[in-house]
Amino acid sequence: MKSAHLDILFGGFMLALLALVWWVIIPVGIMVPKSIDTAALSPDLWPKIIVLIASISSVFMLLKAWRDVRQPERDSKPDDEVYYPMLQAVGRVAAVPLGILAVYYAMWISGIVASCIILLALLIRLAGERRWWLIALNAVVLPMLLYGFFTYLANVPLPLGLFEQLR
Amino acid sequence: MLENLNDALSIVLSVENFIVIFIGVLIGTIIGAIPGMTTPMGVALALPFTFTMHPVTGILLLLGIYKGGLYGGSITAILLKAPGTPAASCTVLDGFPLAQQGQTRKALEMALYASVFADFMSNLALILLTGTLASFALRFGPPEYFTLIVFSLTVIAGVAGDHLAKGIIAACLGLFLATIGLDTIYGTSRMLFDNYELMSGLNFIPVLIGLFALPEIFNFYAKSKTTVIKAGTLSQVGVTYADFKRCFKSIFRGSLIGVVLGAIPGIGGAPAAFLSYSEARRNSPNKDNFGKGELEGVAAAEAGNNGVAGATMIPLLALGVPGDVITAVILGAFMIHGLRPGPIMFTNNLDIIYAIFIGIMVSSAYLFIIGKFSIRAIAKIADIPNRFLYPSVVILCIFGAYAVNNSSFDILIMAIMGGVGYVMLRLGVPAAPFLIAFILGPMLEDNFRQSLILSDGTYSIFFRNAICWVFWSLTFTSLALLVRSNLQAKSQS
Repeated sequence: MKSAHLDILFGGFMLALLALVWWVIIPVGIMVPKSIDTAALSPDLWPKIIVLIASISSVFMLLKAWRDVRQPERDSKPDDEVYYPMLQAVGRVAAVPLGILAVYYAMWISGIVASCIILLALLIRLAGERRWWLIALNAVVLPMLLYGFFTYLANVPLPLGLFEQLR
Repeated sequence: MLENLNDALSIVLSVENFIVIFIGVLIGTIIGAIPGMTTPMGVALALPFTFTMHPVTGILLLLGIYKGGLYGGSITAILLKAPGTPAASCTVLDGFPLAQQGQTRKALEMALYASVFADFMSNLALILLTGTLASFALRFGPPEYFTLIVFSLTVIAGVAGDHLAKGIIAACLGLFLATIGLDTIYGTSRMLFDNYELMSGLNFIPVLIGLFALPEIFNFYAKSKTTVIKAGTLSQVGVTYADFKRCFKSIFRGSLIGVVLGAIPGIGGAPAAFLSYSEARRNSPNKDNFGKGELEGVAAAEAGNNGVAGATMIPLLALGVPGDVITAVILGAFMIHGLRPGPIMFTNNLDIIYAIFIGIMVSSAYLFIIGKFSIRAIAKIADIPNRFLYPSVVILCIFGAYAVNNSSFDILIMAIMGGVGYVMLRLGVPAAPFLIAFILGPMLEDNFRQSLILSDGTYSIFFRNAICWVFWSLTFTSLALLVRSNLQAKSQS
């Protein structure tokens, strides 16, 4: 897909999002006291100014992209890197934030260290390493080192979940 | 002044500080040397570790990482044709050809000497100019600060990416996210949606880590392979005195270019490196050799690149306005420790300012020592397979985000911002304006509303004196120049 097409999609998405923010999110999300004398001091003025500026920029971006889409795309330098096919790439990329979300939910049950050990092992495996002993070694060492640093050096208590009694 | 200097020496002259500065420069050099790892990523990951340190110690650690990162990018630029940082992409032009000709050590040593010299010049500029600018900034009131920050954000939004409109959109998104929380004047809620954890707004560290560390990792998992080119082994012949003397003019010129561009918010190391390189080529008797392995090219690129390091701290310390992403993070570090950079800090915390100046000089010395004795080891570290490195960075991000406030909510914010950052990366929307606007947003809004309080709601206060007019003129001039350069680039294509 040409970059101009992407810009049109992005500009359209931004305008829709900004309209949602202006008509729904700001009126619902911002409490405006009834006793304000000066409209310029209202809590919703500054967010509205930001939305206006972003909308104007989105319109300019759309107009530029609309003009560019009719012109032949410049020859771009070939990328030395090769990407996975679309669906596979999306799945691989999504695995990382989903893994982080899994840690977010699991850390109060199994503890942050155990959750991160599992996540690290899975991510190293996903990255292509095949040797399970090396995966296990790396997966255990780093979280344990970080646990030691934050708990004993930085005095940041970390949730250990089920392993709390081992502290 | 002597009393403040004495206090500063007592703060900075400790074994802990010397060790921490050394570690910072070493970590920065290693991070800069690893392609795919960025200096903002390294600074973001190190920030949570500074919470328990003295403010000066923490800030010197982050500055050490910054300086090390600026130099470290040249190592893999020369050895692997893979610049570790965007600013080192200019060093590739002559550094890699020199390595292919068997002059690897010469190229690496010239990069080191140019970097250290420029870094030293940058530190001098910081020490000599900041106080003067800060005393001028005492004349600033809310309207002047508002116009200054608008100018800074405009420049940053314009130069951070290819597309001015995208930069402004990114900045607006950052400004909008900064409004989440309680209103500073009326105390009413803004976009909390009954989530008490948002009452104090989004913490900038999970936003920072999510925006700068995670997208590169997501991108790594999307790729099936990358191409890596290796140069020859490290040669024995290094830089001679004659080589250095021949390149000195370019090094000095590049240092000055780096200092001037570094002091302007939003410019950064890459434009300084390329401008220094082009000036060196224009003035060199060997201009035909540039691009084919000219030592002067490496010297000029690295001098321009490293000349920005200390200079970017000038607007931060004098005005409280960060010049780039790294200094925006350092501003955050100041704020975490209850300090507010700007002219008031020169009045109330001059000892801390002096301590930072002393520490920054020490970091330059460490840069030379680390560069001189560890090139071979650092080159080997750059060989750590990414399949171990990037997953490890994810875990560092999780621990770092949690450690900020002992809150798992920050991990969630980090993950969401990582997704936003990745989408921005793929769409070519620059992340730097987003982050800087997010950090400056509260200050911008506060100064905006304070100005309107002073003027009873009249907007003419933003044009009340020459300082405001100067900043508005600079804003519109920079906008006009950016639009013109975009149109020129379009017509040339």
